[in-house]
Amino acid sequence: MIRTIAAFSLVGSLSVAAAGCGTGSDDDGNTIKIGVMLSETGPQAAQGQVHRRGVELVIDRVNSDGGIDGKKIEPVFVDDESSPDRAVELARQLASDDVIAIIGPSFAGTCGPVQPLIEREGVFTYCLSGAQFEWTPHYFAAAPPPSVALGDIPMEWAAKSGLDKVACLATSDTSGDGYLGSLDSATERLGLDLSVERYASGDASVQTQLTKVKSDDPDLIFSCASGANLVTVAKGMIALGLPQPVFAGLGSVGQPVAQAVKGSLPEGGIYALASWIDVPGSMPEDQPNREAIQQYAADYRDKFGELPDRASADAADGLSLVLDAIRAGADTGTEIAEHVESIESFEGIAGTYSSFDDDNHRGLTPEKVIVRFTTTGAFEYVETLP
Amino acid sequence: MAEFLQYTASALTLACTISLIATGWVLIYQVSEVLNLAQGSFLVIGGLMFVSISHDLGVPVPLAIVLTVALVASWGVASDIVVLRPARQVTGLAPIFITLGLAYVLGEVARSLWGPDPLTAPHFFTDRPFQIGGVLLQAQAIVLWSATLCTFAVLWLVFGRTLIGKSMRACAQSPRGAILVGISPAHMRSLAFGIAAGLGALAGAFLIPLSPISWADGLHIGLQGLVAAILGRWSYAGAAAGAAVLAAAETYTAGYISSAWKDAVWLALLIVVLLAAAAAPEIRRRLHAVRSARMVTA
Repeated sequence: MIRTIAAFSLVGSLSVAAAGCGTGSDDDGNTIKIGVMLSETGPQAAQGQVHRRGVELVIDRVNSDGGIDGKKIEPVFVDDESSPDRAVELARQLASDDVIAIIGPSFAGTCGPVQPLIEREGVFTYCLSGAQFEWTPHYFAAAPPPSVALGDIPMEWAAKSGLDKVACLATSDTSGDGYLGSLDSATERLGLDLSVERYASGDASVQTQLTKVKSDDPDLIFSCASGANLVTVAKGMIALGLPQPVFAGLGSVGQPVAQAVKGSLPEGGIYALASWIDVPGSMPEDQPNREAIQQYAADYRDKFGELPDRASADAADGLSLVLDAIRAGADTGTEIAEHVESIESFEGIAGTYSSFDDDNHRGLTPEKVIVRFTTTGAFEYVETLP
Repeated sequence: MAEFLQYTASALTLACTISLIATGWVLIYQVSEVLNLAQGSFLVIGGLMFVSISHDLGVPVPLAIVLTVALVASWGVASDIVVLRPARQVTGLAPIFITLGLAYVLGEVARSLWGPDPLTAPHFFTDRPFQIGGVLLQAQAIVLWSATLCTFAVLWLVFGRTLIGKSMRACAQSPRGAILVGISPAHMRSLAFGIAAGLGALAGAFLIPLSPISWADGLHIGLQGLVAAILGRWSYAGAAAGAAVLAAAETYTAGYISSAWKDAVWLALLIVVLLAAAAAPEIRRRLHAVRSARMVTA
């Protein structure tokens, strides 16, 4: 038994070592190697696999255009298996192989643990989680600021729609805590009434929580959770005949969840804050980067046979920011970080990055695009908030 | 009152799912003394396989359920023959780690076959609820309750009235004695794995229209089944009762106290039962000593 485990460990270590050999720039200097650490297996695999698609599309495009200064981009993909321990191990491996930038990890549970290590090693890291972090010089993250995307914009939409009593169904984890932290101040500022029920992510049913919610007769149910927890909430709404609209948390706005929930839409519909990449056909003519977003959507459909969503765009934009820095002459993790901090406006696929500075390493300014989930597993444009 | 009944309906659905898993735990443990941590994986594979057979292949629901249960049961038998039987001489904690490994392997197989995203299926009938005495019920939940009852009735008949059922009980009581009368414990163990996997698959097929299932859900539901089996002192009726207690504790806690406490309450219940079980012999000894002393005094 012990010998078997040892053999597996050895094989695992050798494969990581083989994957990581010669990163940064290869021996003859013809490629630029970028670490890409995602959760491609394990509980967060749905996100990680979509992130990988975004990275692949950018690499395909850049390499087919001849690379950067004649050097092709060579990603070093490693799978952290949604495990914090494995993520730290792989980050150490990538850092020791002189990778200057890492795209990923995919979620808060792996992003947080690698932060001290990559900071010590001076590797630029672009975490793809929307959770709240303490910023350090080399540590950046995707998605809009949580207080805005999880609290301010959804509650502005609720207030504008006359939905004054909001019931938040939050998961009992850091993701749920993030929503609650953001919602408290937003509801107080806008004079909305907020009640909260909690459940464990992945629970088979939330009917008990919804039975309690029903007695309060709220105007809006806010699914304060990530991923497919939205499907459980939607099914519970149908089971109890609740007519209210549901607002989906940002972490549920993606193609996997849209497909999973399409047969279980509650009577009041499901709404969400999205990006133009979720509804590229509804983009206004004067939208910055309109052509690039539509091209990305078309390339995504061609390559993967599915509709794109913001998760893949987050990863694509992270890599594009790194490549922008390398084009500008950045050669180390520190130089990439300094370049990204200095960006005043960068038009990405998920939106415009215009708020990077020393104190804020999350640069995406959210478009206030409100969409509705459809019975075909897609998103339908509703309105853009002012 | 309506709220209490609504909670009770939710608890009943949860109890039915857990009881099917718990019965699988008991069956395997009684026949082989193995704690099969992969039991929840069979629910996951059953649910996902049911979606493929009924939805993707368009097989009618009743036939899809039969096919799902048969296929997953064969996975259960294969798991025993391929993974556990070669390690039958290994003792101590090793078999538990083997089944833990099996759970992870089955999870990854499910992810490879059905993808990383949770799947769900249309309800067998309508998903719109109907009202009885102020309680909203869905036909799918009633189907799950009925199927669980029918399954227990069939199991009671199989174990009580058939030769194969009696053979399995013989193996549970005395493997050596069973061998002496020509019963093969190895075959009975494989059969137990097959039936346990089939029970998991049945739960998955009936549950997936009510709740999305993903490849990663196996360990959580499997743990709930284990706790119900422990609460029920590893008997079939006890496991069903344990599932009911666990589901009621979770649901009423979420409903009347706080949903933040629902998992803590049933896990605390487990700790109390385990401590009580550990203390029981000592309590019995002391009671016996007191009674003896009184008799001597009298």
